[in-house]
Amino acid sequence: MLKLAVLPGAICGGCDVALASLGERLADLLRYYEIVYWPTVVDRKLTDFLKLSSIDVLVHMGGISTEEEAKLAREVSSRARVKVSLGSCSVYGGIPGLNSLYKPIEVYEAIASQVDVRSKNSDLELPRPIEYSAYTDIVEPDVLAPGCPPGSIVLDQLFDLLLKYAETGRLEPRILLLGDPESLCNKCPRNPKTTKITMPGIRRIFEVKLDDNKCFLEQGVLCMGPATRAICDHSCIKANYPCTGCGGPIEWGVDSGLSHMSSVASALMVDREKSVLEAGLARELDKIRDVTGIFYRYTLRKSLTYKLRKLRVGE
Amino acid sequence: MSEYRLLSTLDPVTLVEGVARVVIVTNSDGSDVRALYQIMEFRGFEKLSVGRHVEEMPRIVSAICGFCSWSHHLVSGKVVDAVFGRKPPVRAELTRRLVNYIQILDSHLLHFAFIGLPDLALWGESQRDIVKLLPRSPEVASTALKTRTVLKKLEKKLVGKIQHGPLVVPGGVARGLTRDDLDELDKALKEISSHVDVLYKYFDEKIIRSGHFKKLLESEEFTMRALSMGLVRNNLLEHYDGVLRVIDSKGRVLHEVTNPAQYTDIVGEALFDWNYSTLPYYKPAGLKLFSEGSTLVVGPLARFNVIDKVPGERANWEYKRLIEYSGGKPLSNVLLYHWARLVEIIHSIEALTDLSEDSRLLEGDTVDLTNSPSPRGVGVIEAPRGILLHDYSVKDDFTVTRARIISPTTFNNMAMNTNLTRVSGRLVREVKSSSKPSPETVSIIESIIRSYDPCNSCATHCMRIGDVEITTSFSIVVVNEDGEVLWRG
Repeated sequence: MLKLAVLPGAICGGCDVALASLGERLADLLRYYEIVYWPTVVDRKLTDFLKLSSIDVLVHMGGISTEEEAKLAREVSSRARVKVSLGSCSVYGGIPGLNSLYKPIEVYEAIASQVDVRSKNSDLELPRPIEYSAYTDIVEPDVLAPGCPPGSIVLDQLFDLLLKYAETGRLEPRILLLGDPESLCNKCPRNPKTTKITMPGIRRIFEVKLDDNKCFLEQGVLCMGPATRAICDHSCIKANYPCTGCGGPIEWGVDSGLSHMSSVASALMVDREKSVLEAGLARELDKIRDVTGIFYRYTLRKSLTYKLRKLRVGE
Repeated sequence: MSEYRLLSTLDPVTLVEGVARVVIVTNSDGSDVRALYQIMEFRGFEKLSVGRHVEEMPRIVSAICGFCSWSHHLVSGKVVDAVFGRKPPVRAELTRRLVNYIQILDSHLLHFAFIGLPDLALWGESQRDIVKLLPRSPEVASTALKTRTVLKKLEKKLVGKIQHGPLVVPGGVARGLTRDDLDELDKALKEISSHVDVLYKYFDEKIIRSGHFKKLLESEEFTMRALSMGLVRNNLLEHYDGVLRVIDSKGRVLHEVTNPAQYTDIVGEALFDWNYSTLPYYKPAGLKLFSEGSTLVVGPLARFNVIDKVPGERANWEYKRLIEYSGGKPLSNVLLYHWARLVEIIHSIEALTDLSEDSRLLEGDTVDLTNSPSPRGVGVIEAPRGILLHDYSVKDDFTVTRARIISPTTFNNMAMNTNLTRVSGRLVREVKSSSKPSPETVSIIESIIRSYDPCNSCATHCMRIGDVEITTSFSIVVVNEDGEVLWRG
C-alpha cells in the first residue's frame, strides 16, 4: 500500500469537501493507498503521522498563515515523493491572499475595532504572525491543482494521476499544472460567433439582469474567462454567473490580473473607440472601483503588484 | 485564582473542519482547570472585505467556509439586498430557500457520515472514522459515501459549482430553476431518502437503542445548560428567514427580534489579548467566561429548543421522539446533536420535496432591480451549525467600508470551552495519578467537540487563534474568569 497524506494549511474546507465528493471513487483509491493523515476525515493523530520517515503522496490544501503551518508543510513535504498543491489558496494564495497588501496588525484591527469588550490587561505577547503565503511560495510541488475548489477537470485528472502513479510508480518529471492548457473562454458555451468580443461599456452586477445566453463581456459584465485556465466545465457560466477567475492564469507564472485587464482593454467599446475617445473609455473603466478584488481575487499573492509593494517597502 | 499550568494538548483535534487544538490549563493543585478550544488558522475576511464591490461579497465570503459556503453566500446576499433596498421576487426567494435546504442536507449528511456516525458507532476505539467503519459495516459506510455522489450530482445540476458557487445577485438569483431541475431534484430526493433510511435504521438500532448511548446521555460531562438562540417562524423550525429568538436554560423566551440589525442588543463580542478569537456572549448578562448564564448556544439543538414543532409529518414525529427520549426540553446533552442533525436531514428532505412540487419556482421574475440604497445591511440565517450573521457598511459607490461576521462556531466557542472545562477535571486527575489521560477521557473530549461540529474555517475568518507559546509543554498561562491573563511563565 502506498501512503497518502492530506495536509491542511489555512483552509476553508472546500478542498476537503471536493476530495470527499469523489464519493465512491475514494474507495477505489483506498485499494492502493493508505490514508496516513487527513485530519478532517481520518482519525489519525499528527504525532503518529510524524513518526513516518517517508510518504508517497502529499496533498497540501490551503494557504500558509502561521509559523507552525509553514514548518509542518516544509517538514512533511521533505518526506513526500510526490507533492500535490491542491486548490487556489495552496497554489496562488487564493482569496485570503487579498490581505497580502496589509500588515498583520491591520488585519487584526479590522476585527478588534468592532468588539464590545477588549481586554489588554495581560502582558502576554501574541505570536508574531507570519506573512500569508501560498504553499508554492515555500515548497516546489510536483503537481499544481488549482481551483476554488478545484473543478471537475482538475479533480478527474488528479484522480487518474493518483491511480496511474499507484499502478506505474511514475509521474511526469516536471511541474504539472492540471486543467486544460487553454482559456476557459475557448470552449465557452456562450462564445460569440463573431471573432471579436465587444464590451458595450462596464456594467456592475447590480445594474443588470443577467442574460442567460449572451457572452457576459458582450453584456458589459466583467468575466475572467478569457484569461483563466480551463479547470472546470464552465460551471459558474452555466449557472448564469461570470467567471471570477478561480482557476488562475492559463500558464503557470503569468500575472493573472494583468491578463484580465488586458482582455477587458481589448474588448471595451472597440466598435466606438473613435467616438468615445480616451475620456469615454476612462469613464467606463472608472466604474470598476475595486481593481484588486475583481482582477486579482485569487492570485494577488503572486502578482506583480504584490512584488512591487514588497520592493517599495524594502522587505 | 492563582497560577495555571499547561497540562495537556490534543493537537490537532481530528474529524473537525479546519485545524484546531484543545489546550488545558490548571492551577498548581489541580483544583481549578480550564480548557481552551483553539483554532489555528488566520485568514482575516473582515479586512479583505474592505474595498470590495458589495455585490461581489456573496462570492467572496463564501470562501470563509467550504462546508457551508452556501450559507455564507445566502446570508451575504440578504445583506446585499438590504444595502440596495431590494426585495427578491417570490421565485428568487424560494430558489434561495431551496438551496439553503440543500446546504443543510449536504452539511449534515457529510458530518453524520464522516464524523458523527463513526464517532458513536466505534465508541471506545482509538480510531473512529469512515475508513475504519468501511470494512466493519460496509453497507452503512458505502451508503454514506453514496449520498456524496448523489448530492454532488444534484448540486451540479441546480447551482453549477458545488462550493463557492454562484446563485445570489442583488435582489434575486442569477438563474431561475427549470422543470428539468426540479425533476432532477425529485429523483435525487428519492434516492437520498432511501440512503437516509439505511443510515437511520442503523443509527436507531446501534445507537439510539443501545444502553450505552442512554448512559452517555445521562452523563453530566456532555451537558451544557446555556441560552439557546435560533430562528423561528410561527413557532416552527425555520432556517432561512424568521424571528431571532433567545430562550434561557429553563425554556423561557428572553428575546424575539425581527430586525436582524438589533442583534447588538443580544450579542456582545469580546477579544482578549491572550487569544485572537472573539468570544460572543449574551450581552444582558455581561461577559463571564466558562459561565453557562453568559453563554449563547446555536445550532440544531438550540433550534430545537426555541421551536414548538417541525414542519413535515415524519420530521415532527422524529423531533417529538428525540425530545421524549431525552427527557424533555430544553435539550442540553451535546451528544444529541448527531440525532438532531438526522432529524433535520429528514426535515430538509420533506421541505425539498414540497418545494420540488411548487410551481412558483418556475414562474416570474428572478430579480428585483429597484434601488432604495442604505449605507448598512445586516443579515441572519440558520447555517447548518447555527446562527450566522453578516453586517456590512458601504460607501456611495457600493464598496465595502466595514464587515463584521459572526459564525456559528464563533458563537459556540464559549459553549465548547465551558463544556470542555467541565471534563478537564477528570483529565487532570488521571494525569496526576498515571501521568497521562485515559483514552476514554480523550475520546470524551473529542466527542464533545465533534458534537458541536465546529467549523474552524468559519471561526477563523477573523484571526489566527491561540498563542504559539502554549504549544510547548512548559508554557504556563494564568487566566481569571474575566479572561484576564494574570501570570505567564
